Amino acid sequence: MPVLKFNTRIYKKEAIQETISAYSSLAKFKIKDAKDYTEVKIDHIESEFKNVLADEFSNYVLGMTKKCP
Amino acid sequence: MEITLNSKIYPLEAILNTCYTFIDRAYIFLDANHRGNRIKISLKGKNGIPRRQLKGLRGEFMNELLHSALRCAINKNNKKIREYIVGRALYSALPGPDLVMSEKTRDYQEDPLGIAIPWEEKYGRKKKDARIKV
Repeated sequence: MPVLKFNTRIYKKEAIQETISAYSSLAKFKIKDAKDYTEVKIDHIESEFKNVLADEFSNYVLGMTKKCP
Repeated sequence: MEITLNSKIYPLEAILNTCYTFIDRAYIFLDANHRGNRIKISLKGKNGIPRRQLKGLRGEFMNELLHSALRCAINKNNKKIREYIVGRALYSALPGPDLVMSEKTRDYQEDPLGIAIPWEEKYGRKKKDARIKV
């Protein structure tokens, strides 16, 4: 079960939430606020995307962070 | 592969722009230290690209980062003059005070172009025997 820690100085929470809604059909996500970080736990990943989902997810968050005003 | 950058030299905006450029070729993850002045970039090549190619990607990334940082600096330095030019252009597109006043004082019932006059009244009815004989 991969856990991604997104630094709040770099990544925007809205971007993480938008990514979660975009990827919701491929896995289950749990979001938790910690000090300086937003933690995302990824569970029940579709077997087809198990190897790439976490990496693709973080790339998507990066793209959304850049797009968010 | 990891790259650590000083955010005083490379602003976060420039780093994000550069990362966005490489998003199709690599998996990128960013982190910062607790003071936020050091930014760590983790680059992982997509589709298992060879180590040598990844080194080339690093060089390309650093060059693009410089380019992006310069663009950000120019953008920041020219912000005021850019805003002034756009403001000036918009201001010059506004109607002058004479036109605004004349629009306000004019009554809609005056109809100077005669658009409220019916067609028949303006041009008269068509004559029945005006048909063309063949």
